[in-house]
Amino acid sequence: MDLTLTLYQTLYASGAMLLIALIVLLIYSKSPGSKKQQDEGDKNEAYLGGEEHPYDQESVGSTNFFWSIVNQSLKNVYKKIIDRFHTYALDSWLLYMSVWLAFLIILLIILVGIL
Amino acid sequence: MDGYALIVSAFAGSTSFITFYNVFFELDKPLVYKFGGWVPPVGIIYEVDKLNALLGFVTGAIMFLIVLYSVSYMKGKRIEWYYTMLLGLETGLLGVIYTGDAFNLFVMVEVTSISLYGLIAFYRTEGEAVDSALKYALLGAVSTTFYFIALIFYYGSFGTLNMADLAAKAGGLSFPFSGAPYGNIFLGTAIALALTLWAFTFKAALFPNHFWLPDAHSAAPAPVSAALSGLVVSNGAYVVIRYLYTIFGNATISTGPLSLFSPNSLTAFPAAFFESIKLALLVLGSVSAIVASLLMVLQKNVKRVIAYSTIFHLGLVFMGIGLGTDLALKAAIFHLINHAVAKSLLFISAGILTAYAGSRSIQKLGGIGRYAPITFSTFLIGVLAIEGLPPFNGFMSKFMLYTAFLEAGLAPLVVIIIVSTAIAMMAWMKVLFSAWLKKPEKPFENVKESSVVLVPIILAVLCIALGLLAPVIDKSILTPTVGSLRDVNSYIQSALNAIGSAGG
Amino acid sequence: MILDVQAFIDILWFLVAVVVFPGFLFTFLAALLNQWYTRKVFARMQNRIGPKYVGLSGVLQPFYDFLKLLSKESITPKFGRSRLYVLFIGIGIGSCISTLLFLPISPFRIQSSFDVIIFIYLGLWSSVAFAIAGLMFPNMFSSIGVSRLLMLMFVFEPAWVISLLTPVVLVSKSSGVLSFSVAETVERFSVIWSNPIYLVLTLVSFAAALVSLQCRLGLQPFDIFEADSEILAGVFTEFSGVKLALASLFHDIEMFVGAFLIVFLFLGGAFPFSLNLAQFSIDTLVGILVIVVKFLLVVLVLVAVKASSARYRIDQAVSFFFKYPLLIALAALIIATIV
Repeated sequence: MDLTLTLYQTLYASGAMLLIALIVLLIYSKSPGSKKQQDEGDKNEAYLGGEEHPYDQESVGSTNFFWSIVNQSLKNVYKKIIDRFHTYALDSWLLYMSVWLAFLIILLIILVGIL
Repeated sequence: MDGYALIVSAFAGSTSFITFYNVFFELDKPLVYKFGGWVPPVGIIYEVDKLNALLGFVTGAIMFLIVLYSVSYMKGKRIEWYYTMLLGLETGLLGVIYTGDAFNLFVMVEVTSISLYGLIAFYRTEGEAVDSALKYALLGAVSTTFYFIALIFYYGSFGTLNMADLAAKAGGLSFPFSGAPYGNIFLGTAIALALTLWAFTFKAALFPNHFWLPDAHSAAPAPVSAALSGLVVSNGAYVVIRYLYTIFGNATISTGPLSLFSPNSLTAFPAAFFESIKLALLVLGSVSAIVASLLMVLQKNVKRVIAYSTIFHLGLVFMGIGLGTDLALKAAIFHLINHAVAKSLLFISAGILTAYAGSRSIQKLGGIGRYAPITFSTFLIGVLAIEGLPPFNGFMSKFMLYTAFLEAGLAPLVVIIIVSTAIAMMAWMKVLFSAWLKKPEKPFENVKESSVVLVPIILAVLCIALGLLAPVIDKSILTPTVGSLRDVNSYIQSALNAIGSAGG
Repeated sequence: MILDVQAFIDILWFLVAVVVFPGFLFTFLAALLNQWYTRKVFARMQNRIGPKYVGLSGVLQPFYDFLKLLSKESITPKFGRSRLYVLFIGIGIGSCISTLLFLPISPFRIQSSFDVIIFIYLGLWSSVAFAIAGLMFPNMFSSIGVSRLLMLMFVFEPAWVISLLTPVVLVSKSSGVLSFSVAETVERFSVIWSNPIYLVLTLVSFAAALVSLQCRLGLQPFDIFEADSEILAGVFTEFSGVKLALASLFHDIEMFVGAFLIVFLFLGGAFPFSLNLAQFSIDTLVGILVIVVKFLLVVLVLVAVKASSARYRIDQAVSFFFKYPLLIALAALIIATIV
């Protein structure tokens, strides 16, 4: 079946990708600049442009990792979802679940009524 | 105690494999087992066709791995209660999958649920665990009660509770021992099906019924979360498939959800009802996917991130079920299997990492990746597999789902899936980034990766293997499964043959 | 699996396609020549001369730069992982090159129904791999750069995917069989030219794809994650010596492959002429010439925008993307499925 053929093609494409990754690794290992270096002075410290290295703030905090997207672009979407809709209060759960049940029952009433 | 549990679950796993092998490669029709020798529909039968056998094998195998993992993960505490409830959970899961009788389904669902109520509240000194178990228990009891009411309507209008018998009567055939249907069969069917679907979309956490899932999955112990996310929600989806496509299968020849809006293809009430139900499942599946992926980004607890991801993927499965073409059903079933494997892997390795770090918050997990590299790399493989990057197994089933949508002409749904996958990827990046690169707040002590890391490695290898073998699996396992799902007549015929043969 | 002569020949063609044409060697040469062209044009726009001395009008300059960087010592900071970094850059380069195997010019063609989906996913690996590679060195500025890259990835990848789907959907709807195959889109591009609505939709998604490529490459006004002075050098801070050679090779290959794919998918490749590399005739040569001209024009547009823009802030960039390319491309795709 043609779908099976496509799945085989995926394997070929991924194989090509990995083959080239191996070629690049080969280039890296053969190049003269990648030989072992001596650790002298502070050559191996992270380059921070003269700043001190605050080890505990080494990177962005996990809650702010996608700051711009969550707090700005999608802020309206999130406000709607969390404040109006997905509050963690139990009675609103029951409300939505009963809405789905009511929808199913109304659907059948309408359809039985028509036919 | 744990040795006993290991032996029993190994036995269950191997018998489910034997059943799978038998039904797929030796017999070509469903396998029937009569309890106590009573013929259907007077007695209860277990009827195993290809879908059952496949899902049963997956359940048996993964439960064995989970018990294996529990042996090294849960030590001390009150493990005699733990293993009792865990084996009860396995009993209920396998019972739901293999049964051929609607009332037995109810009993087995209750067995599953009761074991779950206890297992979720296992850490009984944590308020969150008891709280989420109580909420799940109350809502779960309500939903299974609704299913019980649905059973009353089935019995009232059809006169029988056997699944093969219901399938026969819905298709207009007759079945011995139970008489003709009584009353307005359309009304009875409709009410019963509505209540059944509601009850089992609760179990499978489809969009408005999903609120219990994040709390329950994140408060339970790690092996239980793996079983919950991988196997219990798959059970709910399996029951929906069984009701829509086997029992009422003759009425749901699908030409796509958009056929609801073209009047010529709806000649009778059942067709209209089923098409609109499938359209509702499609819509709710998409909403589930979007909402769950948006909410994943905001979580601060790593197990809640994984739990919302379960809701997202079950939304995808229900989109496949709602579409209803052969390819969509294949994609949905394959995605159920892949999701079970990858999600168990995620919960299991996250359990190990949170045990090392002593906390479930993403912030406190900072830097654990460097101390436990093997566990972290299995977690990474789980994330890549579930997000659907080739060549892992998640990509293969998502690919089949995309193909099914493109064939039905619904390209915007493909865009919805891609966008929600991208949003979910943001949340996974947060977790991975924090675990790999942050400096730990205080250095973790006594982190040694012992034999507990064996099970995640097995599951990771399985993810890769399922991905690489996907073309073979598609041809030899999935296509016969959907074929047998559509073949309602052989389902009914096997039950009839069971009446004919004497003895058990 | 019986290993007969046919399978052996297939494997041989696969290796030729992956390593030589349109594989690693061809892409390497083309990407570095493209870098020369970019640098020359950019310099002229800034009233400079650009590369001049090495080779004929400086053509060999990028090659010399690459070789020089290969021989420089590459400093690995404490806690950094060089080998993993090289692996992920390799995966990024590999994913770009393997997308070229889907085009009709490749001797080992990867083609089947619905292969546009594999195509999309392979393209995703390139940015993801680069982001992971950037995280391999524990430097504060690298992490900030990577977090900005990931935020941008969240907007330019959907824009690329949606704009890519439009010509594929249009071409495959016009044949009776739904095939959604990349190679078929390129071969039957005349379908789009013959219908004005299709042409408008394809041009709209062409514009969206250009903007998305500009962002993916980190060219102004979207060079937010790359060479920032605000965050030292952003993602590129700790790359030195051989690692820098590989990273800039990755950047050049991404630019070449991105523009090449745009030429084939949105402009039809050798459109008015057919490109049949099996036979060498005047038609083929003219086809190759047309492809080269279109490619140079696309890169000219990219460089022109780069030379004349300042840098966006991250939230400005994300809002811009949501408002214009993403919504317009989505509208084009929805119209394309309905029409």
